[in-house]
Amino acid sequence: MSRPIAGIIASIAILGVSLIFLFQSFQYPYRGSYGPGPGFFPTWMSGILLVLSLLCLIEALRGKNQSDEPWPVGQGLRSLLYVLGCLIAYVFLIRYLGYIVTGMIFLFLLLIRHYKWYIALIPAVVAPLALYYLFRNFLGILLPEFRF
Amino acid sequence: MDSFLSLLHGFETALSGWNLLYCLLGVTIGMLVGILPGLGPVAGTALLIPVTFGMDPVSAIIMLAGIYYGSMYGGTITSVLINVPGETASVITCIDGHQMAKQGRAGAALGIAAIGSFIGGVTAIVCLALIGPVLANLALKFGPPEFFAIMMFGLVMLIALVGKSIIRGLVAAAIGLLLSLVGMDPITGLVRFNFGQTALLDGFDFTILAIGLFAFSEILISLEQSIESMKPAKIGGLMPRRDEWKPSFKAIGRGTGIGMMLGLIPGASAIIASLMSYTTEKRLAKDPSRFGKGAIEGVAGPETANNAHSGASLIPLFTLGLPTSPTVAVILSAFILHGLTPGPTLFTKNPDFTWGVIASMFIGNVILLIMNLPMIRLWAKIAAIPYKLLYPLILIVTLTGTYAVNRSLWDVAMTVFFGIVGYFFRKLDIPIAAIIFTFVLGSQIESSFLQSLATSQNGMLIFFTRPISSTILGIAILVLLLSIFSGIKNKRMKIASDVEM
Repeated sequence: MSRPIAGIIASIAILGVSLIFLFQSFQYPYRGSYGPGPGFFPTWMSGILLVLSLLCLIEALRGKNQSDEPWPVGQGLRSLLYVLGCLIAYVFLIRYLGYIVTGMIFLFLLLIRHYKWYIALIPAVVAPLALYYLFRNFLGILLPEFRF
Repeated sequence: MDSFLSLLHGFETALSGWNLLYCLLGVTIGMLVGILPGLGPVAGTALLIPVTFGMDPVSAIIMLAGIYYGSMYGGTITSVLINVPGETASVITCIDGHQMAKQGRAGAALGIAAIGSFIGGVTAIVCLALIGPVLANLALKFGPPEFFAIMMFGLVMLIALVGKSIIRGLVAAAIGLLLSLVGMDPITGLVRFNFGQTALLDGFDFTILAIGLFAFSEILISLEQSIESMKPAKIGGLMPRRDEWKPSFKAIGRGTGIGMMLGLIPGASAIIASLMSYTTEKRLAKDPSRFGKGAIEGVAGPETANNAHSGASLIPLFTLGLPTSPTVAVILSAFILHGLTPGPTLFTKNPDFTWGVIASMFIGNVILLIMNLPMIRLWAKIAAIPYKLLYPLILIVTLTGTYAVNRSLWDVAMTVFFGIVGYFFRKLDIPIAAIIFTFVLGSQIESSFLQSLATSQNGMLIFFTRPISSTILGIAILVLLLSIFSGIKNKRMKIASDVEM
């Protein structure tokens, strides 16, 4: 993905978001009993964002002031996607498997890339258990339990 | 004299049993957060907010502030020993600090950094104690139009200083404001932009947004580089050579001044302060070629500047309720959670709280000086933990912490979501700091704007007919126009583009 394309896609995405917010804003009363109502500020803000995203799009099309941050490729991209995958899996699994089991799987999957499995297993098992009891006993917060 | 007596009274508060412990706890966590790369002060303070729920407001803010200025000390250690900034403000320290370490003089670098940090930090707090009440008194006369003008000024400065494109800065600001509108409208009670989600009735949680956008995206970015563990350098003696004291203290003096000036300006982050101090030292040095090869001024100046900056950045918070950096924004949100209104009334309405926190920062800096001189070897061991072991643990702690904020799995998912968004924004050079700024001030910006309009006889003109607000807004507009037309932004260093402090 070359850089201007990323800028263009981002501008269009923000444009879309601003349109959604703008249409939503129209549903709130623009005027209240005293001066402007709850719809006033949202309408203007999403309107302003709409204009700004258009300007942003123009800037991107012209290739002006664009970011020179490199996008990841190869190994960097792979490890990024791997960790993202683990994060998303964590978010989905924790609902069913509870905190301790999910946390262990999550840590193990991340650590196995760098360590032998029996070394990775130690922090993967200890950390979620420690955190679970720390949160329960010191903060009184019960983390999600295992349930089907 | 008045403030002196209040400060003494503040020490009474800060030294009383639990508060002293929370101060110690705060600066210890701050050191940790500073040392560990991938975990910055934004995440550190944000994650600890839920822990403070049961505490006194004084204890809570004492601890959170401790994390903030403590992290400035801690960051140095990682920079010097393994050439990786523990937190972003210490990037500059890597240059000469790590060179000194390679020459076997890591101890001297860390020693002078600790001394400089202490001097910079304490001077900034003295200023807060002296200027704070005066400025707050002045600001007491401000009405909604003035506060609106000040917030706009802060925003404009932030946008002018951060990132390459003014337009993208404005986009970020608008996104932050729109996100802050999600949930119940404080004036009418109408629920806005919840898109049918019950979880959004109360809007987005600031903690979640800050951790996602800053901490998670930071870790995601770090994954792209190959993760190699470096062996930390040996520390050696802590004291600089005899002939180095004089130039070091001069650098510390200048660093204090630079840090404090920039701490007052929203958007001028700690890294800009340390960068400016570094270039100043290099320019003033008799032999600039020493820089980059282990010049001690290159460590003393920047490290002092970022500590002076963190102390000074609390002045706008305590007197105007204006956050000048994302971490201060997190502390501001903690003020609100604990029922305090940051701003000019703080000194008069909650003197015990205000002076207690200020006094605690003196104590905290003394503790940090001890931690960083005699106890430095202990902390250096933590810097030796390899990143490949560290980042999974940081991720799990953060994920656990975000659940604890509201005991909600939705929040965990949102943190990951904002992490991904933050990653793309960083890549696209959309300044996250501007999103955080307008998000945390969102409801205040809206209400001060609407209140101004409601009391106004002639609409928007109210902002320009009152002398103070018109002056501030005038300057803001001038800054905005200058930064659009001057093209300075393109020439600025990439390093200052989007940083946490």
